[in-house]
Amino acid sequence: MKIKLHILMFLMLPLFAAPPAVRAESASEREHKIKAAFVYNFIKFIDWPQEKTPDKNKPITIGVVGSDTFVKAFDPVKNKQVKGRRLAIKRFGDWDKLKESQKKNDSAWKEKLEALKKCRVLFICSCESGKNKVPVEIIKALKGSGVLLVGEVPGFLEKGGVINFVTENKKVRFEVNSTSAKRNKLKIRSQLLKLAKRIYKEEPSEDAKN
Amino acid sequence: MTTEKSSVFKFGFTLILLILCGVCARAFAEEARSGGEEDFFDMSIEELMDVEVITVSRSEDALFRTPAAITVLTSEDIRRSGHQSIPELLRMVPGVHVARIDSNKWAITARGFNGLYAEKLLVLIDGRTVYTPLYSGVYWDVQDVMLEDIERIEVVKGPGGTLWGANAVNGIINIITRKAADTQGTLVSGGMGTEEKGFSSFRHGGKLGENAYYRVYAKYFNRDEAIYSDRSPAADSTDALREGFRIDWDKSERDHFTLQGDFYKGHSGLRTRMTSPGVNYQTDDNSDVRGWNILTRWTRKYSDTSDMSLQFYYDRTERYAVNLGESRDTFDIDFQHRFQLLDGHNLIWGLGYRHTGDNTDNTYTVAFNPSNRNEELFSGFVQDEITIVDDLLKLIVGTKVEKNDYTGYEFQPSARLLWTPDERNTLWASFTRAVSTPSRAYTHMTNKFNSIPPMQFIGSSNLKSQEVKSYEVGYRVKPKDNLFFDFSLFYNEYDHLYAQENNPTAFSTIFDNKMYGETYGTEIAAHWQVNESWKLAGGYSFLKMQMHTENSSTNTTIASRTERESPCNMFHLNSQLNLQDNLEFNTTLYYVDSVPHWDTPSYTRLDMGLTWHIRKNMDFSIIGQNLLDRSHPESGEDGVIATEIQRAVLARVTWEF
Repeated sequence: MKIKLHILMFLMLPLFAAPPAVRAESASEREHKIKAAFVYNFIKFIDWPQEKTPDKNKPITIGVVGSDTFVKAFDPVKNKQVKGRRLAIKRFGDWDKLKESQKKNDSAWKEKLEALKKCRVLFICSCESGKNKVPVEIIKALKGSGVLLVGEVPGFLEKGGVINFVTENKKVRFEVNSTSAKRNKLKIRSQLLKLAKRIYKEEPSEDAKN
Repeated sequence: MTTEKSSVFKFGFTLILLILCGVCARAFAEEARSGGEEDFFDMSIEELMDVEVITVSRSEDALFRTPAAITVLTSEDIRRSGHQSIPELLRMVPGVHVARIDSNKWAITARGFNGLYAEKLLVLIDGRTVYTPLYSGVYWDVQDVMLEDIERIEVVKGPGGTLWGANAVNGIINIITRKAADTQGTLVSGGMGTEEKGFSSFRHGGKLGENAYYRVYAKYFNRDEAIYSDRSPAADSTDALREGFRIDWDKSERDHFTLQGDFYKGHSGLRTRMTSPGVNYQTDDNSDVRGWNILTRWTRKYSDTSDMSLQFYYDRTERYAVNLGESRDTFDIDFQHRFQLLDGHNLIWGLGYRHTGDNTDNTYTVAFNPSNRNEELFSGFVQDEITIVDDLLKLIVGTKVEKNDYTGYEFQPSARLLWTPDERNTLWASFTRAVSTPSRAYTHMTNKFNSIPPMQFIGSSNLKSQEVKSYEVGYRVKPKDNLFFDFSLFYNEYDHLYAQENNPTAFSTIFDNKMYGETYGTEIAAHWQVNESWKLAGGYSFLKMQMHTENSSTNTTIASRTERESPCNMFHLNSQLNLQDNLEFNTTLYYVDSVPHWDTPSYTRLDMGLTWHIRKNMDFSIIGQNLLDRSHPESGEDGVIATEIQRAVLARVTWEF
């Protein structure tokens, strides 16, 4: 009898509280919201060569690679303006699928590549399919294309990414590859650089090899 | 019967209270949402760099996919629980039975066989084994750290002998403190209460160079005497001072060094009673306890799938009481290496060596023969994590081999199967064999009673290891992002369990391995993040024990006694509620079934705590413990006289700067 009573109470637990009005956000979602805000701030402190002849009507596009659960953290960016221009978000979906398409090198990929190159910023999420892997393929494809490549995985800078997020003491930090920034003709202002946790410079020989 | 009824009544009463809390929570949450939604886009980079990402991340993911019955208490759980000591914190772990004997003694176990001398748990603090080789149990009064510095407490129920080694028969408790880099700045905390009369702790952390961090800490507490059932005070007041440090150095991306040490000194009050026909003897005493330890660890990371660690520690413990004196030195060295052997085979192997030497004082009741002894333990293990189907099915097989001075070689193999069909479901099954090797007390101790005729317990040098074969299955599911369930079922077969047998040389009993038996049960845990401001966590466990003795055994009571030493059902429900941005309300309800052998009725315990974040880094808490009754017993006499747990109130201030 005693046992039954407790099991019953246990089962009834969910009834005691009304259904949650708001779904609690997961830590990863929160983390990506923070990162999205970082990216929004980055744009303020980075000068692109094409900005010398600005077209005020064209939005600044931020591309996001990764599953929708996480990249939707970037959505609020749409309502923002930087340097007098609107911001736009372009989702490219999962990295894995992108990689497959790249392998086939079909017309769909060529279209995608053009779209990728048109982005001012490309954030590559390492949350699901690309778990802990450096998206070398994308970095290579966009090398020197003037796109600000932002990642969140150790080794991202070493493979040619421009800005990488790291988590330290539960807080988001970023590091910069200054060589790669130069190669992409991105001018990162000193206000931003001084906040970086680490500034990575590629060895000249490494650069030559590439 | 009346206690049963009132217990059920209290239980219902508290549940109603919790429902009311829930209703309030919803109202407050509504308010919090409309006002308090953080907009990161309005923040500068500097401000963003100060926002905490709540860590669930990879470690929680790893936890979700662990093929064992594991529970983790986070630093948040610990802070919000209001508990002031490690043994009390373990009440929050489903399936762990915490029975407080007096203000400095606890009987703690998982999956049965509880008692003051419970000896089937492996307890580690930052990689240092803290159960005593004297009787394979844990002196809980001296197992302490600064609670604010605990990163997490991992509790594995069931045997874990393969990776962890001997004594991990019924469970492993692994207390992990934060890295020095995570405890920077100064923290001062202190308070007082009706039972916890005074407690204070201090910690300071700083940088030692580019990549090295340190912290130093000191902590003191003074705990009041408990009371007996007749409300007279027990002579068991306790105090302890503890100091320590930790240094963490990231020498490079791959090399990490840790150096840490602690020193403690305390008094644990103790009242013993010897009763046998014609004699009724009682004595009050203080255990003078003292100890220090130093540990160093080097870890090197080769890649995501490969690393190694080398650890060394020295541990000294001293304990002097009227009935027993002991000092002990332990040296331990451990090496582990993890790497990918072939595609789909993640191998982990290790070697260890432990030397422990003791020095016991013979007293009028307890004598060890020999009184000094050095023991050596050699161990090695290998485990292969085989990926059968990528991201779906894994088989983990391995064994530990140990050579000890009592029984020679011991093999502790395990096989675990892990099925992870998607991100939300994990199913696992395992078979494990683990042993608890004989200890000094069961082998070399003579316990004399001043009775007429004289009686003695005598240890036996012919003891075999106690053995368990454990069959487990478990299921974890996240039906929604904010909802989590964890189920485990176990069936254990024990053999060669210790039991006292009549000694032919009359008037004494001697230990032998003539008890065996089966236990089975379940543990269920649930977490529900109801909304942004309210989190519920609950646990339920059930345990059934069936013990038998061999036909040749002369002990007719041990089997039924052992069966009756652990509660059948346990339940707890914890509510963590943020009333406003700066106000937290925490409630925990515990139910523990009766323990027939100890004559302890079932009890329901309610703890409540209110924490006010006065400023960003300053908290003030008022905590009420065991609010439902004036006092109740949790355990019975087991060599010392059990006391009752009183209602208690305490206040605590924590300031970090």
